[in-house]
Amino acid sequence: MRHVLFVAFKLLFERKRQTIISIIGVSIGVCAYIVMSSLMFGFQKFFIQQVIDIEPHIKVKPKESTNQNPHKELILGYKSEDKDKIMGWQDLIENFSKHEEIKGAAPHLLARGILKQGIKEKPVSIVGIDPAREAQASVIERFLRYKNLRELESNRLGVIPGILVAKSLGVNKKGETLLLVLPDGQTLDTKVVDFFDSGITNLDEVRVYIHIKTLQGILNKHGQANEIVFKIKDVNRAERLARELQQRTTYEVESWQKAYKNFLSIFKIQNTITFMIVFAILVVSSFGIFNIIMMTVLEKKRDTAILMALGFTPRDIMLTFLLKGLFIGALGSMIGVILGYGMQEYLETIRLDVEGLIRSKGFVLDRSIAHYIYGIVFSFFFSLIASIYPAYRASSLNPVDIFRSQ
Amino acid sequence: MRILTLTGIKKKIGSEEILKGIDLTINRGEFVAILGASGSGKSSLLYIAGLLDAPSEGEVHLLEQKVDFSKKSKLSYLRNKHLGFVFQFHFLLPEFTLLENVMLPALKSNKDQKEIKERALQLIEFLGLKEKINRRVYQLSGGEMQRTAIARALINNPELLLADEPTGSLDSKNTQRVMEIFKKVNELGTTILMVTHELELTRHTTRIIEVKDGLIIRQTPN
Ligand SMILES: Nc1ncnc2c1ncn2[C@@H]1O[C@H](COP(=O)(O)OP(=O)(O)OP(=O)(O)O)[C@@H](O)[C@H]1O
Ligand SMILES: [Mg+2]
Repeated sequence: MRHVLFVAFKLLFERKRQTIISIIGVSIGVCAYIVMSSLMFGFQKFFIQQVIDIEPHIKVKPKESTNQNPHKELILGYKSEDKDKIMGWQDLIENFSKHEEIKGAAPHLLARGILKQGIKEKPVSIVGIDPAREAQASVIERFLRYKNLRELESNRLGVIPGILVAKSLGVNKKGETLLLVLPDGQTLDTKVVDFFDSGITNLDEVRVYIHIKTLQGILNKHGQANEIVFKIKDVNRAERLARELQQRTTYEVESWQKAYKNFLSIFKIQNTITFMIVFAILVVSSFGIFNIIMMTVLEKKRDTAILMALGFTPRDIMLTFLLKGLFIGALGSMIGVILGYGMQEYLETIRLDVEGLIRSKGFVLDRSIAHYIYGIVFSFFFSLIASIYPAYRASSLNPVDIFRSQ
Repeated sequence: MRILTLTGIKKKIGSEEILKGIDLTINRGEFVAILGASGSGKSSLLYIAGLLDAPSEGEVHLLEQKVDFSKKSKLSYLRNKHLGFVFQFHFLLPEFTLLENVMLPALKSNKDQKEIKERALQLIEFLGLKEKINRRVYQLSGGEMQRTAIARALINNPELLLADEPTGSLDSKNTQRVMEIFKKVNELGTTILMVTHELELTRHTTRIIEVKDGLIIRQTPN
């Protein structure tokens, strides 16, 4: 091995400029991988974490009546609003809560409506909650600006609008009044007691919380709920648990993964794209490595023949050239890791308003060590692949052919 | 002891037969010259004797062991341990210093690096290159390069030193010097097989084998 290292070490310094360019190529690949995946996963993890905290892990809701025969209602004789409520929700909560994986439950009454402030108005989805029970099923209080969930209890006309709802209505202070208009034309003068700011745009721009009793009263749905939400022990098991619980009820049981499946599949696409971009960068830098090793092999034919005459085995020769590729991979990934780390540090200092699926005051990074490890592993893998063929070519050279041609 | 035995060696390249049945035995301590005109097959014979090329027909025995030409890494091992090469061109590695070039073949063994360096320095001194050990190859004269190549060929104490026109690119003064070195090395116990087309260079050899058109036409003990 000593003789191989001895020669391989000198080969490293052959074709310096191209070697440096290849090293830079690998560094860029590794750095891009680290930065892009930490951005991507950072954003996705943030999104999912917020969703898990705000949204129910599992919810029970009436089946969506898509292709129901309108005459059925007439014949069977139940009223249309029956489709929009959960009969015996108290029993359902009691029943489900016996399951060891359920940590807490709360009833919701959902309705559509419009919030008005002067001439400004905004369609909203109203969530009627029981503040005392809600805390057992979600952690919305964490996302309230003044942590004032309890005030809904004492002030039955209090509302908590999403921060973007409030913004579009020009409301930014506690205590301002808003007019709530319901689909049947009824109105209610409400008072803002807090603001809801989850960072997830599609929630913050439509949601309004109100006390469930208030909503039940105004809609004349006393004691009713049309959504039951559950918190569970292991959020990753939500989908399985939902399917299990589905056996116990005719209402629809839905996991958070299912409710957010559109987002989750967008994430998958995002990850695939990221991966493909980095893959392309690494492939390009592999061509660089391939090129330079191939060139070294061709230039060093005579030296290779001499080494063989001196007793280097084909395997020794192969290793000698592979080591050059691996060295480029190693140095490239080392520099890439340093660059990637630096970029992450820099991105974290940037303050800007990110507006999109989520809103934040800067980039949300997932600075997991795994991204570094994957980056290094990939670049080593590609460097190795790129050097195998040239190294093999060198090792299968016939020294006599070279000596004769001198 | 027979160092090398060639029996019925034939070599075909394409349809052309360049060695047509060579039988040759080299005993320990000999200094054998292969003499022949250009194109007679001398180099081809040396490549086979040096286990660099496989014969199309015939057998090679090195140290009375039959050589299996299909086992490449075994051939490399045998070359490294028992054979030393000097070619017409020095064939030194340009990236290395004189000392490093000389040490290189010994690094494959598991000898101590210090021991290797000591032996290399002794050889270098013996060949009169002591002042140049840290020079790179391109900073040496032709004669110095060739003497470095000889030191490299001797570093592993080879049983057989193979030389193909070792003075082919040297002037008469350096030629003489190299031949004197060969003579001294031979007297110190190393067996030598040297290829040349100059009769004059066979002066110090113990045996001359004349080759023509791929056949041995005459052998004369010197
Ligand atoms: N690759 C090859 N293909 C075909 N013929 C070859 C090849 N290499 C060598 N020959 C032929 O083989 C014969 C012997 O060549 P070899 O190199 O052994 O001769 P040589 O005696 O060493 O000559 P020189 O003194 O010029 O070095 C020559 O006729 C040469 O033309
Ligand atoms: Mg020749």
